[in-house]
Parts: sequence; structure tokens; C-alpha cells
Amino acid sequence: MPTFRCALCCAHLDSTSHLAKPMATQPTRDPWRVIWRIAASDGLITALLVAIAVGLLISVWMPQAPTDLVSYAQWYSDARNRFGPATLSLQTVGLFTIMRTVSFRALLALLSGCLFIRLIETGDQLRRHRDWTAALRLLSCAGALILLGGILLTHLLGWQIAGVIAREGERIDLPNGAWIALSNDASRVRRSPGIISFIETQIPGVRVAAHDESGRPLALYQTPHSDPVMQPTVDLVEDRYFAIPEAHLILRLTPQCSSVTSCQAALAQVYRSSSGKLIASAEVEGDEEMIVNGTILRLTRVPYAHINTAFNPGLWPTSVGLALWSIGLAGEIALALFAARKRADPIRHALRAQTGEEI
Amino acid sequence: MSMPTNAALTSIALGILLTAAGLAFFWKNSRTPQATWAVTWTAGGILAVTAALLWLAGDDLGMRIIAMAAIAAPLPTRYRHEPAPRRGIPIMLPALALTAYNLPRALDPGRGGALYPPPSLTGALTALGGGMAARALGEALSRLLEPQIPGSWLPDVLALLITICGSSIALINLWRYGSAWGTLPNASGWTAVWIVWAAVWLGKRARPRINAALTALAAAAWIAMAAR
Repeated sequence: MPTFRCALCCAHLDSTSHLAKPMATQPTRDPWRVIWRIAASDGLITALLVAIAVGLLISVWMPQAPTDLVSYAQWYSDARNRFGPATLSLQTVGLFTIMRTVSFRALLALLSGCLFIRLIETGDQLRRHRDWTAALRLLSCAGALILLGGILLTHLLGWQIAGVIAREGERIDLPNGAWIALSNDASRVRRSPGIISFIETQIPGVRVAAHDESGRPLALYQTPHSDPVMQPTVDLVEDRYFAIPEAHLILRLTPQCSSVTSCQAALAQVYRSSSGKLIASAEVEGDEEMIVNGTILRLTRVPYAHINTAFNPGLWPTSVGLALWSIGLAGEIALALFAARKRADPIRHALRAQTGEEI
Repeated sequence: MSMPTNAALTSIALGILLTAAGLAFFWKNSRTPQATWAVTWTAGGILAVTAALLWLAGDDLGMRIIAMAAIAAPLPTRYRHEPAPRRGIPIMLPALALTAYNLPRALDPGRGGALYPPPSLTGALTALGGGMAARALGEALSRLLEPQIPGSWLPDVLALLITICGSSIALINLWRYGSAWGTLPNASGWTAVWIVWAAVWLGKRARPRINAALTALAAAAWIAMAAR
């Protein structure tokens, strides 16, 4: 790009005073040179980084809207409860979709452009004067660009599925032939290569079976219109109800959480269907058998888990970019520390000679 | 009703830190800097013990807050020869604020216990980086209030260590959760904190006040993330 090259040379001539002095006439103000210098300046890159960071920080405190419609309804209801009538205004401003807003993406694109210009300028500097500071700055710029490239790759080709509910030992198929499977104790996730997955919450689940005194299995109904099931298995993300019409009983199962990330037990309550009176209650941690009015209820613990999974094709570029950026930054800081120490040494020696004390 | 040990120690440390601030503010004596320095180190020691007790009790958040205060509390060695003792007060402020913030939590017997998992590698890095961020915040406040104070190597060392901590957390999030931001709300926050630290270093050549303000912003962001 000849224009940029010219702008770069002019910027260099201007910044080196001993070369600029002999020039008899003042060079005309080249707008390209001005743009180049602004784009490669510390100030603009700092401002862009701060703006991106502020956007990300806001996204931590403002609940971000999910993309799927089912979760969106739940999210909108929560947001209305939290922000009240201000929800609509905040939504219009884009505070609930920060990372999907045009302005946030424009900031990232602008940062990429500035870093690219800076990379060319630093490369040129390094070619002319081989020094560590320029080399480390080049590493930082290259790292930041690779990081942004990785993020773009993930955005274009990657996907993320949050809140997949899986039963112990169950295998769930995901897009592009990928899969995840929960271990038998629901503590680990096995996955196909290239997939990242982690357990967000362990949730209890039960298999319910009902028998009469003679051992005959009784049918259970989850809703008035659902088909009868003999041994339903359910997760306990929320309260579950089963009607056993032949025994005139209603079974209610409520999850019991011991912490934010672990709900291992459940509370089982049995009501008489005609009067709604509570007639039995028990905490289900392992397998449990309850005998209520001659009906045997067998509750078998089946662990479930909420799994988050992602396919991140930009994982390696993002990691390498992050590492290079960090090495570049840390190296620059270490170099500045070393230089400051070197500058302070003659003063330290002089003071030591004068006072005879270690400073 | 007996006060829990953690709450008692937190109260004592808060009292000692307030004493140090009072000494620096009111006591005009040639020995003031040394005395204040020694008092802040005592508070730092007590806070470190409290952090260890909170870790044993399984209070992850309390441990993080008090560990940050323990790292931020001791005044730097150069302060022992400081001709104006009041200059140490801004440096003590983050430790004071963190200790005071955790006191109501410590007094609440419902906190902690077996509900929280033991600290992870990310938790330890968060506390360590947060402590250094609190120190950097103190230094930045000091530079904001009195820009004529000669520069020291401490902010650069802190920036180096915080950069290492921040990039480690971002890399761990990336490999564990598949994304440096977006998957979990906290992951976005950590990336933001790391980015703003990178910006602080880039903006180092800016005017001292702007640089100090940026450092204060970055440090406050880290502390807010760590205390969540």
C-alpha cells in the first residue's frame, strides 16, 4: 500500500528531529499521515481497550438476553422483576445484548485495524533498530490480533449450548456429529473430540414405581391428559407431581439443594387426592421405599446434571494469542523495571559512597 | 452470643488499620512513619491468619476478600523514610475498605460452613491478583492525590504480577469453559479486567493522572470481580 508506506516514512522523518531540522520548507499536512499516527497511537488503542472492557464489565452486571426463544421468555420475566419499567429503556439502549450490538463489534473491528497498523509500524521500527522493546511490542500486537482472529473464528463457526439436562450414563447427540455423555455417578462428562463441556449443576432425579399390596404395578400420570406410565424417570429441576388414581394418591417431589451448584436430595410428599391432606413425607437421598395406605412407592435415585457445552474452533488461536499478548506485555513491564533499576544504580552507588549506608 | 473467631480477628485488624490511619493523620513525630509501617504489618499478619481460618471454614468469598486485604494492608518499606506520613493513608484505604466490607459477613453466623467448595486454582489466583490490585489501587490513589511524589518500582512489579495472574485466569476460563467470555458471566468480567490491565500498560506514557486513574479503574474492576 504505497500511501501507507509514504505516511509511515513521513511519520518517521517527523519524529526524528535531527532529520527533520535540515528541511527548509514545512511539509504539507497529509491527512493519511495524521490518520496513521492517530490509529497507531497508544491513546486510541488504550481508549478502545477500555471501552471494550467497560462493555464486558457491564455485561457481567446486566443479565444478557439469551438467543433461544424458550430461555428468552424466562430471562425477560426475570429482567422485568429486577429492573421494572426501566427494562424497555435498557433494552433499547442495548445493555442486555452488549456483545451482539453493532457498536461493540465496531469497537472490536476498529481495535483490529489499529493493532494491524501498529503491527506494521512496530515491524518497521524493529527492522531499523533491533531492540527488545520493539520486539515485545510486536509480540503483543501479533498476540492481540491472533486473539481477535480466534474470537472471530469461534463466532462464525462455533456454537454453545447451555443447560443440557442429562441422566447418569446418558449420551446426548449434538450438532455436527458431536456428543456428550454423563458418567454413571453424574460427576464427569465424557465428550467427543473438539468439544468442551462442563457440569454447571448436579441435579437430583428419581425413578418412581408404585405397587399395590399384591405387587401389581400401578399407573402414574404426570398431567391429567398425559399417558399413563409405569416407571417414569424425571429430573428434579422443579417440583414434580404424579397422580396414582387407583390408590387415590398424589406424589409431590421437591429438589433439596445443599449449595448453589449441588442439589443431591429430594423431598417426597404424599397427599390424599380427594382431600389434599398430607399423609406421608420422606427425604430421598438414596433409594427409598414408602408404604402409604397399602400402596408401595419405590423411589430410586437417578442423578442428573445440567451441562454446558461448546464447540470452539478458535480455541487454539485464542489461547496462543492470549499467551503471546501476555508474554509481550509482561516482557515490556519486566524490561521497564530492569531499565529503571539500571538508571537508579549510579544514584544508589553515589549515595552509598556518600553516606556509607545501603540504600 | 459468642462472636466467631473470624469476626473477632477481622474486627481487631480493622481497629489496628484505623489506628495506623489515625497515627499517620494526627501524630506528628519523627518515629511516626516507622510506627505506622509496623502497625500496618501487624494488621496484615492478623488478616493473613483470618484468611487462613476462613479458608479452613470453607468461606471462599470471605477468604478472597480478607486475603486481598492482607496483601494490601502492609505499607511498602519506602514508607519508613517518608517525610510526610499522611501520604500513607491513601495506600491503606483499599485494605480498610475490604476489611470493613467483610465485617458484616463475618458477623453473620449463617455464612461459610460446608456450603462452599474449597478454593480452586482460579480462586487462589483471584485472591492473589486481587490483593495486588488493592495495593495498586492504593498506590494509584496516592499518585492521584499527590502527583509530585517520586515514582517507585512497585506499580510496575504489581502490573507484571497482575498481568500474569489475569492472563492465567483468562486461559483457565478459555480451556475449562470453552470461551474467554460469554459462556459464564464471570468469564466476561475476567477478560474485561485483563483487557483493562493491558490498557493501563499501553497508557503508561499518558499523563500521570490519567495513568493513575486508569490503574485505579482496573484495580477497582479486579477487586469488584474478586468480591462477587
